[in-house]
This record gives sequence, structure tokens and C-alpha cells, in this order.
Amino acid sequence: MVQVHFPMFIRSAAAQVQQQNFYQVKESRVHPAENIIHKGSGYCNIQSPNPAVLKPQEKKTKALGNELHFNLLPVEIQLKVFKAIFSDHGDSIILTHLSQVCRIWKHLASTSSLVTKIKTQSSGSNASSNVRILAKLSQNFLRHLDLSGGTVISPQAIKEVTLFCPNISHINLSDCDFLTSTDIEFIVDNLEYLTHANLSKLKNLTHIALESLGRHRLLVDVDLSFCARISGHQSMQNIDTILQKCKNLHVLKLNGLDFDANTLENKNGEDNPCFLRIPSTLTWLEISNPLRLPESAFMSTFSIGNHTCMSLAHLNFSKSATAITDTFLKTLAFCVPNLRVLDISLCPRITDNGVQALIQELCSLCNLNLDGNSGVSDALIQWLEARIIGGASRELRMLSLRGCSRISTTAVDAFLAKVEGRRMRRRTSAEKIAGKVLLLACKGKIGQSSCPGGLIVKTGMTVDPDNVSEDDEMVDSGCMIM
Amino acid sequence: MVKITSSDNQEFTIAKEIANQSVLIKNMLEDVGEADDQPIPLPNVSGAILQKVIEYATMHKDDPPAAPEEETRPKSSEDIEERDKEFMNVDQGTLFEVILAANYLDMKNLLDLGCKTVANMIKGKSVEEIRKTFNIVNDFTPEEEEQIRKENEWCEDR
Repeated sequence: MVQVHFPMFIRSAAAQVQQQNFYQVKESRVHPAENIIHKGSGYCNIQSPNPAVLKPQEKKTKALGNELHFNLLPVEIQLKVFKAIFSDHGDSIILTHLSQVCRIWKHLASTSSLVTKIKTQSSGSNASSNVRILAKLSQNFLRHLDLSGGTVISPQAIKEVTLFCPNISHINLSDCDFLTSTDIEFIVDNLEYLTHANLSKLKNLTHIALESLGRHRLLVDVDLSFCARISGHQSMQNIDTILQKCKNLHVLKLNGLDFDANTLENKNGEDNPCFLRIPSTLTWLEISNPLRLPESAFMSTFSIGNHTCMSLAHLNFSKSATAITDTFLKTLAFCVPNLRVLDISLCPRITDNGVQALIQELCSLCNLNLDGNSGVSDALIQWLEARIIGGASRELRMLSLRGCSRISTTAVDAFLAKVEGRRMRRRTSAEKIAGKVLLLACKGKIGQSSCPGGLIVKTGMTVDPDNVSEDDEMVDSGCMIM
Repeated sequence: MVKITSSDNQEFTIAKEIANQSVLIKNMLEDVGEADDQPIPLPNVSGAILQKVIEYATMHKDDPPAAPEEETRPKSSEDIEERDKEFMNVDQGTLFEVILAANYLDMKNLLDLGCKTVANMIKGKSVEEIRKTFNIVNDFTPEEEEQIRKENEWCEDR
């Protein structure tokens, strides 16, 4: 199945169809069966030198009758209706189905601006042809191509799509294991206007594809997580090229990569061998679950005096068995002053000490995830309580403490009781229930509608390492979980 | 309070927060300023439809402003509130007129709702049923129909 999305600029795109559609309408008006002027009598032809003056008026009353007709609605509205149909279960079959109704509908269904996003949903034998048909239809209008989710599309079809639709800006090939290294390079090379590239979980992605990414100056968001073959010196050099050459890069995700520490050490003979040279544009960096990455690599990236990390607002260093330490957190606190979201869950070397240094220094921090850290204890909660009562850490809205074995429910309850009046302006009853229930409530709708200005604590019994950050999206929508 | 008049000269007096749901009226009010208590003419909307639109705006006056992320998320035509479904339970002519009014008055939510409602009327229907529902005349010649049928076979085969 292929999902079709519709453009936000449907109005302007509609203008393109308007003209053709207009003629369609006219054409249907002179349909032989209905055309009484020509077929009925010679009256018009003889008496009126210009029958066209009469025709539309008469036709109008006839077509309109007392009721409006779908085919007489403005094109942008007709397209909007078509969009609504496709947003549910759109594939090329639906398009052809609708195109059989009448000429106007055929025209609407073949409007190239109709399809700007293609998303494969579930596996189907005709997924490849669907993608191909839709791509041919939308051509230059296609902006988003999402083939994630494991549907097998023939690489040939994907290559054709990139040739038909040169304006694709967002591509998601996550988990497309069937793509060979050459396929990936072909795709990346062909999409000149690529800004968002999700190339995660591609087991065949090599440093050569990274090299072509480095030539895409427009890149904004790159995800290379869990690409098993990104490893070693050459790959790191190419990632560095992307960081340095792509002046618009905002988001870089390097989760679960195998960084071979040895190749990093003797990378080059520079005085300051740096693991990643963060460009000043980068706001979002994820290096969770790293393999073979030592603390020194992080230290070299975020050294004191490194001013290029100023814009970093979102960091994910979770599941780092060795690299994330208190010493590192203390250094980090001084070089990312604008950090808002930090995920350091499941980092066993962290203690109260490091977290305190972090919270003390980072005044804009609003979301801190400490899930599954047995190094943090009740003392941290008490310290934080005093701090919040003292009016500090005003921004902190979400503190996740699931599965922290040394933090007791009593401490959290006491904390919430003290802090409640200060932070909680509006609370729903569901949120007053601590612990697990609270967490469940947050996953539902409460977070979105109710508590702006509130403070939520997430606690719970266990933490699932694979599901640690699934509530992250809530932070940006202004909800607070603690 | 804001005064508006319909195409057939019916006058309505409504609260400002209700009127402001129409971007058109909102902009007009901003241009004209507070002092002017002249009714705003809406020559494209009849009284009956305007009544309906006001009913919708009143029903939704307490809605939180739409999150910007909503734009990017694909919207499902299934997900219509129950009260909205009831509101839209009208004859086709009224439905289309409400849609046109929403378009003219620039009320995004109402326009979306209308389009979703029409979409739901189309979904799951055969070509013949769609023609019947919307009173559409099949204007294809037999040759064209044959050709479209062939095209579809070609699609479904691959």
C-alpha cells in the first residue's frame, strides 16, 4: 500500500488545473445530448448573431437548478476532498477508481500536485508499481518519499522515482535492507534538493554514500543511526565533511554506530584531535548506544572553550555504558548553555554529583531523562526541591526517573507536594496519581491539553531500554512530565 | 459584539470571539477598527447558511488553537467529532453551500470538516454509486470508457 499526501499549497497548484478544468466544464456544457441550442432549432443561429451570449446563462440555471453540484465547486475545494480521501488509504488504485466517474474527476485524479508525499504502509505485492505510478503522476511535485517500514520495493522502482521526481526533499529509507550500497549512492546522488535524509538501519550504507551526502549543501536533517557499515576512519572523516560542508545542518543522529576508538585516536596528527567538530548550526545531536566509544571522544568534542556548540538544544547520549561520566557532564554543562533536552538514560557511570552540576549550569534545560540510572539517588531529588523552591531551574518541566532503583516513591511524593503549588497551576485529577498511572496518563491526551506551566514527574517501576524516549515528542508540545 | 449581514439582508449580531473564527471577518474588523458599528456585509453567504456557520462557530468557540504540527500530520477523514458529524448531517446542497461559505469566510476547520464529510460520502463507493450520490452524468464516450478500463487493468496487473 502506498499512502498519498497532499500539498499545503493546494490553492496555488489548483490554479494550474483551473484552466483545464474550466474547459472541461465548458466541454460538458455543449454535450450533444443536452445542447438544445444547436440541436433544438435554428432559432439561435438565425436570430442571435452571438449564441454564446445566451448559452451560459441558460446553462447556468439548468446546471445549478436549486442545488449546488460537486463538479461546480471551486477546484481547490474539489482537490481538498480528494486529499481527504487519499490521506486514509491512498494508492494508485484509488486514483484510477475516482478517475472513472467523469471527465472532471479524471482530471482531478491526475493532478500532479495531488501527490507530494508517498509513504509505503504495509507490504503488498504491488508496492513497487504503486510507488512508480504515483511518482510518474506527481513528478516535480513530489517532496516526500517515505519507504521505511520494511516494504520491499524493487531498487529499480526507487531509482526511477528519483529520476522522475528530482525535487524530493525528504527521503526516508530507514530499514530498507534490500538496497545495495550502489543503490543508496545512486539515490543520494540524484536528489539534488535533499534536505532531510533518514538513512538509518541501512546495513549496506558505506562511507561512499556519506561522501555523496557531503556534497548536498542543503541538508538539514541526517539520520545515520544503526548503519552497521559506518565504522572506522574513512566514515568518520566523511561524517566530518558533512558537518563542515553542510551549512544548514541542524539535526544529526548517529545512534548505535560502531566507533572504533583506535581509528579515532590516530585519526590525524593534529594538536586537538576531535571526535566530532560540531558546526555552529547544529541544534540536535544524538549519539546514543555507541559501540567502542571512549569518554575521551566525548571530552574532545565538548571541551571547555568550544564555542561552536552554543546552538545545541537537544542531546541524546543514552545507553552509553562507558563514555558518559560525571566528569564529562561537568564539562558538557559549560559548553552547551542553550541545551533544552538531554537524554542520559541508562548511563551507569552517572551519579548525583554530575547531574547536579548539569542542572546548576544549564538554566534553559527543560527536559532531563535519567531513566534507568542507578547512580542517582533521593539526595538529588531533595537538592532539586530546595533549588526549585529557591526559584532556580525555572525551565525544568520534565524529569524522567523511571527505573531509578535508588529513588524512592516517598522522596518523589514529598518533592511533588512541595513543588506543586509553585509550578502546578492547573492539574487534572488523573495527574495527581503518582507513579505508573501518571505515566500512562501522560501518554494519552492530558499532556497536550491541560498543564501549561505545570511540572510532571515520571516515575515507575521498570524501564524498558528500547522504549526510553518515546515520550520525547511531548516536550516540544509544551507538556511537562516529571 | 459584531454585526454581519447576509446576501439576503438578514442581520446577525454575534460575539467577537465567534466572529474572529472567520479570518475574513477578523481581518475586516482589524482594518475597520473598534469604533465602527456598521454591519459587515457578506454578499456571498445567504442567511440560512450564515445561521449554520454561526452555529458551528458557537459550538467551537472554546476550542484550543490548532497546534502547528497538525499541518504536517496526515489527517484522517475518519476522525470527525460526533457533534461535528451531527452538524454536517444536512442535505447535499446545504453541505456544499456551507463549504463554499467556509472557504469564503476563511474558516479552516469548518472547510476541513466539510471536505472530510464529502470525502466520506465518496469512500467505499463504486463508480456508479458515486455518480448517483452526486448526480454526476457519465460524460465519457464508450471508447474512452474502454480505454480507462484498459488502463486500470494495466495498473492492477503490475
